[in-house]
Amino acid sequence: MDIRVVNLNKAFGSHIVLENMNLLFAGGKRTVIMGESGCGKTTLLRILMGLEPQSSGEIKGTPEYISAVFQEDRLLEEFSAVSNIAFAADKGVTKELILRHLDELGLRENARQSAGELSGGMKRRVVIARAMLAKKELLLLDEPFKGLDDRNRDSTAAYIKRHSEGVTTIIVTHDIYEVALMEATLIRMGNYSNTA
Amino acid sequence: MIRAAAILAALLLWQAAALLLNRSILLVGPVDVLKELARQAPRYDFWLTVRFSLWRIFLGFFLALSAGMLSAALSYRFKAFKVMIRPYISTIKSTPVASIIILILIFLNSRNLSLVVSFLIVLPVVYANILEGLSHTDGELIEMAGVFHASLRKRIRYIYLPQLKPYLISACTASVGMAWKSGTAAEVIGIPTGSIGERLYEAKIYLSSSELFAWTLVIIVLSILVEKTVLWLIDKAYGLLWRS
Repeated sequence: MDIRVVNLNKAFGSHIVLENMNLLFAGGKRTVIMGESGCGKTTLLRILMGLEPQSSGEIKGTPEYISAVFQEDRLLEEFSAVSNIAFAADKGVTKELILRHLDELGLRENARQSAGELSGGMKRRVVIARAMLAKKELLLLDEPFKGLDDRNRDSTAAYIKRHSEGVTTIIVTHDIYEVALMEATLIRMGNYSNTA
Repeated sequence: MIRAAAILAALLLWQAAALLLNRSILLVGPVDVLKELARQAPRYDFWLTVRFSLWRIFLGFFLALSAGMLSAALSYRFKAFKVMIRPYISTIKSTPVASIIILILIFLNSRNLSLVVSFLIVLPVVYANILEGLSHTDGELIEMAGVFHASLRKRIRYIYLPQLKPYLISACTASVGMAWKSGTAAEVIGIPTGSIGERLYEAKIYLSSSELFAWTLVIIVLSILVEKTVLWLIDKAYGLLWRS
């Protein structure tokens, strides 16, 4: 199902972040949003997640089950990678499945390590596995490849594409290379009206 | 090493003061206190007395810990509950221990006085610490749990309990000693038969400083043992939680 953003406005006090925004996110497709820092990309994702109320306007077609990679890792630092993923996982996700996903991301050996002991890049991959194994009809990825080296970025992008086939996916990034990597439609914020 | 030297110096100073004063009614030295303890310890009624007070004060502490955690959780979740409970907590916190003891004696017999008094003294400390801990819970983790529809059980186990650990330790460290001080003070006033408070009261009546100091030492040791045990249990419980 398509997600329509209609005349969306958001202001924090007198500071306008989103002004009269109209967007269409095609159902089951991947869309990348690019734009300058502070242009409201993360705010838009937070509104889609229901974490931030819009000042005015409407969002149509937001599903119940949203999965996300936040800009920050938001991991349970004292718990293992497996526990972190199990925390958000959909019903029926077994420990074996979690281990298989960690294996795909090159983290099999780190499955039992507490999140606090992992490197930045490892944490980011755990966060991505967590999002992939959660119940999802909409997938929101806020700078998902932050802190990953080129090789891990490419393999992680392939992993995301494999496990989000047919799921409406919105990705926020600063890097034009990631648009091609994710084979996604591009929307540049500041010039965001891609639909009437 | 420095710590042991400081303790030894304090004991020597105490012994020297006792020798200089040379009046055992006023001050006995550590040697006499240990002799008195050695005389008491093999007696069966010594351990019955220890059990009487230990059980009641520990139970009062444990019940206050449970009630304090529960009421703090309810206050965190429901603003109306927080507003409703505030006058009770403030009243308990600001009422002098002696007044609490005498008020309880009007309504209850003295047998379980130390249990009720230690409960009332510990409750506000635990409540305040746990509520403080809950109010400092990482908002980003709570948001994350909300987005992923995590159950309340998962949120408690993985988010709230880990974040509460330092506040729980702080509450227990502060309140175990308070429970013992207030509990034995209550026993001295209420004089329940077979309690440490009764033995302290008798020591005062018979001007037996060695017995008074010996029982005081027993209280200090019990308080330290209970505190160490509680902290050890908390550490073990969190160890299990991390490994799960």
